[in-house]
Amino acid sequence: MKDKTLRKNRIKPPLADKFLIGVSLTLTLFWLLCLFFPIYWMVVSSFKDASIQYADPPEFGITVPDAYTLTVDYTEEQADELGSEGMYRDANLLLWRMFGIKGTNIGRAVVTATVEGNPEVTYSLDKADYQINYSNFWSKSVLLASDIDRVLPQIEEKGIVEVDEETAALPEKKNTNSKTEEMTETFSTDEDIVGQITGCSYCNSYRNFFDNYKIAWAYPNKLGLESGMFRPVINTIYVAVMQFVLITLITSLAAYSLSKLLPRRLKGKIMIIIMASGMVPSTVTLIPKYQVIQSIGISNTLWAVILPTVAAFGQMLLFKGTFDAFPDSVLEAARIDGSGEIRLYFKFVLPSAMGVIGLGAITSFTSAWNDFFWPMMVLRDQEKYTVSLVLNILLNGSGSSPDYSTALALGFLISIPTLLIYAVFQKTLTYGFDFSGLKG
Amino acid sequence: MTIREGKKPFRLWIKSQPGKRCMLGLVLLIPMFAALMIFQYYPIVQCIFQSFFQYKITDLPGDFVGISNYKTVFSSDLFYTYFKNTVILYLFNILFGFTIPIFQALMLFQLKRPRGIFRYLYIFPTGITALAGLSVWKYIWEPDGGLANFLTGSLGLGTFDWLYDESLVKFCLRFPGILGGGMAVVLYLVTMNNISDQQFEAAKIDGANGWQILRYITLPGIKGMVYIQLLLSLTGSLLAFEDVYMMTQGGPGFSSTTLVLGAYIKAFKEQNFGVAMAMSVVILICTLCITSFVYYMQNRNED
Repeated sequence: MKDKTLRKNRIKPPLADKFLIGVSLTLTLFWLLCLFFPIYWMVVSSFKDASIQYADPPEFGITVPDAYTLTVDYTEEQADELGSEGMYRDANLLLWRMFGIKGTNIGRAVVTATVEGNPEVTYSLDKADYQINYSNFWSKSVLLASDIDRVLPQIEEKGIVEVDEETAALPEKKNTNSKTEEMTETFSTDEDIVGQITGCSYCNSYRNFFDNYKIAWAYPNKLGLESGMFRPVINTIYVAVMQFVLITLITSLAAYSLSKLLPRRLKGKIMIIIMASGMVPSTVTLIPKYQVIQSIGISNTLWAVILPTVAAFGQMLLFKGTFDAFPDSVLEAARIDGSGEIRLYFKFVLPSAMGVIGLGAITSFTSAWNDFFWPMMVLRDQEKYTVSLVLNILLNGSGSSPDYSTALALGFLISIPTLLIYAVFQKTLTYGFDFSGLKG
Repeated sequence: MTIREGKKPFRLWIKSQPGKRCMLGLVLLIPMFAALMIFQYYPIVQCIFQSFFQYKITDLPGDFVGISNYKTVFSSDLFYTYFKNTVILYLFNILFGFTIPIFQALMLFQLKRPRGIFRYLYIFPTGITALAGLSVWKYIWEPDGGLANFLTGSLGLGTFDWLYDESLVKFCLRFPGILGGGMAVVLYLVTMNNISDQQFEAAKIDGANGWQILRYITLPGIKGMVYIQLLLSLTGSLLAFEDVYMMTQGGPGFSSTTLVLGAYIKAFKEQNFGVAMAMSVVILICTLCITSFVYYMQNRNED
């Protein structure tokens, strides 16, 4: 009843207010759309093939890679003469060269070998396998006939070219475009190939949808890391965890001491020393810090990344704020009951700052995940790279204009953990703001 | 062991409870202090010390040269170029990056109910790894086939070299700030929430509409915070180098090299540590001036 009367007597908001709210809502929605656009563009571009990433006009939707199928016909005599090995060699020449045709959104190359029109064998090669391996096999971008006999055993050993003799069939529908014509033309006049090219068609290949991500994951192999992105991820997690543990221990102990243990006189003096360090940004001392790292002999180890961050000034202030709010009477009571200071700290004081600890965990993780400049300065071995460092090398290492589809795929891949953290733990993330109640 | 009446028992000060606590407190501070000394204060001292020496790798710290490193810094044209670049980048930062979160927070503050979800969405994109976010923009600015040129081309403005153009590169570096969002929005929202409700109530009773409340209560309420953020962003801009290094590596030429990046190049590309340290000291003094000014303003605001 009360609600109803209240509602009835409520002063109707003036028109200006409604207008203001309308404008605010529209602009907020618009801005949010803009804010999400880079992410959208990152995702869309990460699915593009390298050869269409600079297409004009650009492709605005998510692209599905195509499978291009070439049909090669052999006469009976040719087939007998070549045998399965000869046909395999022929097919490989075609498969690896098909990726060299520019402007196709090719995800998979397929060669169907027919004998007098009857489909015999299908050979296929995924883009991921092509991109990851070709630079290991030969140095030029195109597979030359002089190289093929040398690399065939390696290809066979890796088993990356699928050979299918049972279900070999001609493609049901003949989709053609200018690129299939270009392929037919190019390979018909190719003298290295024994068979006769009879046609080319393409269709969507959904199994190659995530090939760019596979390529991105395997990118560190090119830098000499065998395990792909696995090692950098482990390194980064190691850095994040060590940072978190050290920062939490060191700063919270210091904060506890400043907040509850030291007499008032000392507190002020020590706080000044610590506060002063907060005024000097760490970037200014980049060069001498590098010399320090070298002189204490931890250069080129992950500790060189971890240690300079442990004296986290802001984190200590947050801890101190929480501990200051912790009632002294509880501590006094526990002391009278005979509890030691260290036990008090772990039992009562530290658990009261779970929010700050959570914030510290997120900050350590994201900073370990994001930093690339300092790791770039101190880490030289590929074994010790962190994820952002790998991405930086991919973007700036080659000197020429980078392969953005791989770079963005890698970028999105390594953003997933941080995005998840920002999505799930946002309450913790804004804890620092809500808590310190920033005056202004 | 009997305690005589009227006299305090003689005890070592360490045995008293507060004394014990004090000792323990000092012990607990040791790791923090060690870390601060090694990675904060010692590098600063080194920085100042080495800025007076001609660096020699074989014979550290090299020859004492007095203030000649500083003379080199202030007499080189490049230093002023770096300085100019830093200032221009800061101005672009103010133009694009700084004002936007204020507007966003103000608008968000008008919306009562879905504020939480919008706030959530504003922070979420910040979760993209910094380098990945930058690489998208690098891709957008790409002169051949990038999105920026497609847009300007289809609007009939022609195409540009963007990051490879000396006059446009600073604009391109700071333009992404126009998207706003991030923690800054939350910062301003919290400040607005801290404005006492009584002020809003009183204004409503007096019959003020939303615009008037916005103009006369909310905006003045966050003035102090805006001011401090403005000054803090000056330090941030002075020290900016990671994003610049990643996007352009200071190029084309030296047209986007900031002061810190310039010092880095001096030290590691030209192996001229003495001059690099002198530059660092100059930057350090600038930042100290700004931060102490900020602290001063902050204290004045709180009073």
